[in-house]
Formats: sequence, structure tokens, C-alpha cells
Amino acid sequence: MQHIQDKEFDQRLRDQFENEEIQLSANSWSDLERVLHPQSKRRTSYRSRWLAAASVLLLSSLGVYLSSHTGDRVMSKERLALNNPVREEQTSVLEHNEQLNAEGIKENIPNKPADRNVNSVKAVAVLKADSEKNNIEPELQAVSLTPEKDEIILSSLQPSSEIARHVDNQALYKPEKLAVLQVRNEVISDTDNEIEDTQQQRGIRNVGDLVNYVVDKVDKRAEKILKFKTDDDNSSLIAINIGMLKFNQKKQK
Amino acid sequence: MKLTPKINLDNLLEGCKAGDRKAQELLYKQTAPKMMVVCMRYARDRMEAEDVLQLGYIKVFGKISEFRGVGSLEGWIRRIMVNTAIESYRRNLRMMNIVPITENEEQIAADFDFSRMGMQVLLKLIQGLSDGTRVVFNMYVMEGFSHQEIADSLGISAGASKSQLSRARAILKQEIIKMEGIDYATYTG
Repeated sequence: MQHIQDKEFDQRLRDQFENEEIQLSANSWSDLERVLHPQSKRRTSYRSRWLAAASVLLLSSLGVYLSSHTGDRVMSKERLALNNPVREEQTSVLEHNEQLNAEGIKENIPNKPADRNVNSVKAVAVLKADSEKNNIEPELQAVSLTPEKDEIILSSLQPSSEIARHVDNQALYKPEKLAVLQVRNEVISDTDNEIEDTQQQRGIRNVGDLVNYVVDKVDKRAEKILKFKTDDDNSSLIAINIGMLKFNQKKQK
Repeated sequence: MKLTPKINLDNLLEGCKAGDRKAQELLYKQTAPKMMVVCMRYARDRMEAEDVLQLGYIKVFGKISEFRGVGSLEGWIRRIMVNTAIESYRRNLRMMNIVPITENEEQIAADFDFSRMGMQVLLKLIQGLSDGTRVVFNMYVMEGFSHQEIADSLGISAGASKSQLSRARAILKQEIIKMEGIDYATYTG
């Protein structure tokens, strides 16, 4: 039998590979393109990443906003009642007292404010209205509403009333008003500080607190990318700052 | 079935020289499947071959403005691929395992039909060779380098190149003889 020679063997092998092709993987060109044109690809990928991140943030914040303003409202009331029954009691007592006060004021309107009790009731009503706005401690209201403890209020108002008497002796109610304003200013500034302190002390109670915490750590700008109002157990979105898109509920007010 | 339409490579040349991405893509899709065969012959596996292919095309598009039109563009790309594969081998500097060749090597009958085996089977056999043997075999048999050129390129002696080639032939013949009675259509290596 005749055997194949080396040269012929080589030629036959060469022929087997002539014009042959091997199909490449689908992403073969895109892989090479990424190496050949790295800058343009990187720019588009950064842009798409930012867009994706912004859309995720928007969607998540929208979800939190919607959930906090619909289904959670009832739940949060129940949660409040469960978590803080004392506050609930105080609220109901205050509501009752407010009714009594309103009746008292109504009854005394024709007689004009001649007696001190009525004055104190009015002062307390003003204080109470302010305190409701600024979350003043309810104990102060509870104390001031009891007739026996009117002296406490008057004693606390004493220095202001003396000054006011020097200014205008004719005005019967001015001392109380001045005192009330003075007390109110002090209370407002104290309350602002208290709100800041309590925000730091109370920790993370809901999603809004969590988002605020994370954003504070990540975003060092004055106007954060997202800010939630978390005064109560519900949280609501009050500020967005994503480059072109800015929204600040506080500023709008 | 080849879906890529055949386009005259010379028409793509100017676009590639200007850095046109579309022209580059068309040239790649037109020529890369053939160049992949070259890379597969030099590499141990497909992954290594794909690396060599990518490195080769980075050089192709980086140097395409230097192509003066002497010879075909496909031949020029092929030379770049072979050089890239050899460089890759040298960089890895695999040991040339020179094993004494047995003199009583088996012979293949002259009427043996190579086409029965097909390219994929032969490719598997070539990839099964040791790295040094495979490079010498490819350079001498497939690319037509002389032993002296191979010796200069790989930093070995011409005699070492000859012995590596003999070894490659002997192993391939042995494997082919073993397979003579096998149904090649079902052979996977």
C-alpha cells in the first residue's frame, strides 16, 4: 500500500481549512467596539446609569408619598393610639376643654371682660392655639385651664404685666397680651430647637426617616436630592433636587 | 447560513481609515469568521482564540491607515492575526516540550479522504498538540514560514523547529489513523 508523503499530507490539511469560517458570538463586535471606542461608550453608560438612578429614586419616592397619603392614614392613627395612649387622652381632654372655653367665651361676650377668670381663659385660648401650632407641651395647657391654678399663669406673667402697666395703664388686657406674645416667642424658639433635637433623638421610625438619613450621609449639598417630612409617623416628600428638577415645599410656602 | 452580505472590502477601506464605526463593523463582520479559524488553530481553546482575535483587530484598525494596497486586505489582516497569535505564544512563553520522536511512526494510506473528517475534527486534533509543537506546525504547514524564520521568530534553533514539526505530523497521522474506522459525523474530539 502506498503511503502519503509529508508534503501531500501538509497540502491536504491546508485544503481542509481553505475558505472555512467559524461563526462568532453575538456580542463579539460590541466587545471589540467597547475597546476601540471607550470614551463615547462610557459617556452613554454614565448617562444611562444616572437616568436609571434618578428614575428609581423618583418612583420609590412617589410610592412612599402615595402610600403615606392613602392606606397608611388609618393605620397610623391606630398606631398612634396604641403607641401613645396618654397623648390620646390629653388630646381628648384638650378638645373637651376647648369646647368649654368656647362656651365660656360665648357666655361672657355680652358682659365684656370684667373678671380675671375670663381674661385668663382668653389668654389660655391664645396660648392653646399657639401651642397647637407649635407642639407645646400639653401639660402647660392642662394646668392653665384649671381655675385654681390661674395664679401660676399670672405669676409667670407678672414681670411683663408690670412693664406693660407703665406703658399704658388704660389698656386692661394689654399686659396679658404682651405676656402671651412674649411667652409665645419663647415657646416658638424653644419648640424649633426641640423639633431638631427630637428628630435626632427619635431615630429611624419610618421610610422617610430612613431615606433622609441615607441622603444626609450621601448628599452633602444644602438642598438634598430628596427630603421627607417625618413629623408624625407618616412621611411625605417635601423637597427634590435632581439637577434641573427642583421642588421644595417649604420654599413654596 | 451566512447572513452577512458580501461587500467589497476595498469599499470599506476608506471608511475604516477615516475611523468610521459602521465601516469598521462591516469589515469585522466580513472577515472575522475566517480569521477566527486562524486563531483557533494557534490557540488551545475558543476563549484563547477570541482573545487573540480581539487583539488582532485592535491592531488592524489601529494600523489600517498604513495599508498601502499591496496584496489583498484580507491577506494583510490574516498576517496581523498570525503575528498576534505568535506574539501571544511568546508572551506566555510556554515551554517547548521536546519529546524524542519514535522512528516507527504509522503511515496514512495515500487514498485517505481528509474531507470525511471535516475542519472541526482537524481543528480539535491540532489544538490537542502541545503549545510549541502547534505553533511550529501552524507556522510551517499553514503559513509557509521556513524553519529559519520560525527559529528566529520563536527564539529556538532551526533543528528544534524541524523536530517539532516532525512530532506534530507524527501525532496528527497517528490520531487520523485511529479515527479511520470512526463515523466522523459524530466525532466530538
